[in-house]
Amino acid sequence: MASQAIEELIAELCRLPGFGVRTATRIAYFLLSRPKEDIYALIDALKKFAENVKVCSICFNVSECDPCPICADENRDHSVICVVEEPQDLAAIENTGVYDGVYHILGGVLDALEGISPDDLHIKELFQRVSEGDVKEVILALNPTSEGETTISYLTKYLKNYDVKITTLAKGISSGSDLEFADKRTIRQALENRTKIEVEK
Amino acid sequence: MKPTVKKGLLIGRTRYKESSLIIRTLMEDGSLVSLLFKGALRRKSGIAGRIRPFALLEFVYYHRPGKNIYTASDVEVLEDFSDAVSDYTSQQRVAKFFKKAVSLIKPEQSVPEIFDIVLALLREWKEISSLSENLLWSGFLLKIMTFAGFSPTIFRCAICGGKINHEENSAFSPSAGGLICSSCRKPNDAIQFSKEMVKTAQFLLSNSFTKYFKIMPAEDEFKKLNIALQKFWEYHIGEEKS
Ligand SMILES: [Zn+2]
Ligand SMILES: [Zn+2]
Repeated sequence: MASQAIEELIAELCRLPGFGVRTATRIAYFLLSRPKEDIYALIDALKKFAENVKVCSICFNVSECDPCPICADENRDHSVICVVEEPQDLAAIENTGVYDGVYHILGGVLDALEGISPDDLHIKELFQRVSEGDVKEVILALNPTSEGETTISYLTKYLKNYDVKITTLAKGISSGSDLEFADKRTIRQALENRTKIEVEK
Repeated sequence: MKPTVKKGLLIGRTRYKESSLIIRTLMEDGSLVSLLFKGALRRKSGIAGRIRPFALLEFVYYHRPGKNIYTASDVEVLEDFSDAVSDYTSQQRVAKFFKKAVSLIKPEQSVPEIFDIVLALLREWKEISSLSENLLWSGFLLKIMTFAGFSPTIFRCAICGGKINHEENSAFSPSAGGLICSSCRKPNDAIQFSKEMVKTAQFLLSNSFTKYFKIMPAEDEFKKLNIALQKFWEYHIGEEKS
């Protein structure tokens, strides 16, 4: 029987998404084969992560401060909010270097089959920002999946009550895929050619 | 190895590793199958766009005995119902029906009729979504429980076996197993059923969802019927696992 310390590590690793007992066991034995310093470096990184990484109370981006550097930057255009699913999508858009507005991270998309409802996402907070701030445009930069489409139409239904322009990314990112897998050029074009959603008020 | 080709419905999906998807399906033979689509989220694969919820799909995968997740190689959209189920509220309504139906199927089991009922619900959703929720649920529960082998007796008395005529003073008892005629003694959990409710229950089981429009609206009775069937479910099947 393996030592209790290994069992405990495997149990912790198993809680990570995509990790089964087999993968966790492989990682545990891999770590065992490495010099002790490597393990301590990992522990240090995790500790720094736990202590320093913060979630922005405005846009839900992750960084080392709250508000995050993007929300705190006065040179950015705070009247344009780009709504994305996850921090990785924000990073993909930031990498293009063409966007100078701010963001709002929903934390996922509506998914009735998986039981993910509006209350599970940062939707209320988005409406709050739009109703309070001097927001002129909301870009719905969600992934082109059917859940993304459902979420866009849900958000549009409520956002149309405010005096803001609602836009979505131009087609070009392949259907069903994620923003984070698209190349810079594709995202830049999708952003620059974004289209206005026409709504009946 | 020759691939298996089967029609099915998407009932759930999870991201797996960097760019893969694991999906859960209800197949045409009424079995629950999990499939792994490797690299489905990659830009050029295009597969993720075809793994659509609320659509009849056709999967190509490699069945391996003893495995509980099979590797899939392709998927096609045969019929897309997302127009009828486009807003989140209706998706939530339909998802609740899916969940209930799927909870009746045990691993290794297949109940083709359950797939047929769920598919019928999707196909007819555009038309039937305006029906009373209680009525729709009553019909759905009667149908799926019948095929899963838990049907409440609604044409004969659950105690004496006598034919249930449309008489006054019949009742429905989860513990007895269904309707009870006017002459039999009613168990403690018996719920009074009016003549109309008995007729409605029998009609719901024997007819397709689109025929439900023929029933005279009587929301109070539909609600009572739905509650009685939910109680029957709780008594015989228990709470579904989520
Ligand atoms: Zn922020
Ligand atoms: Zn009887």
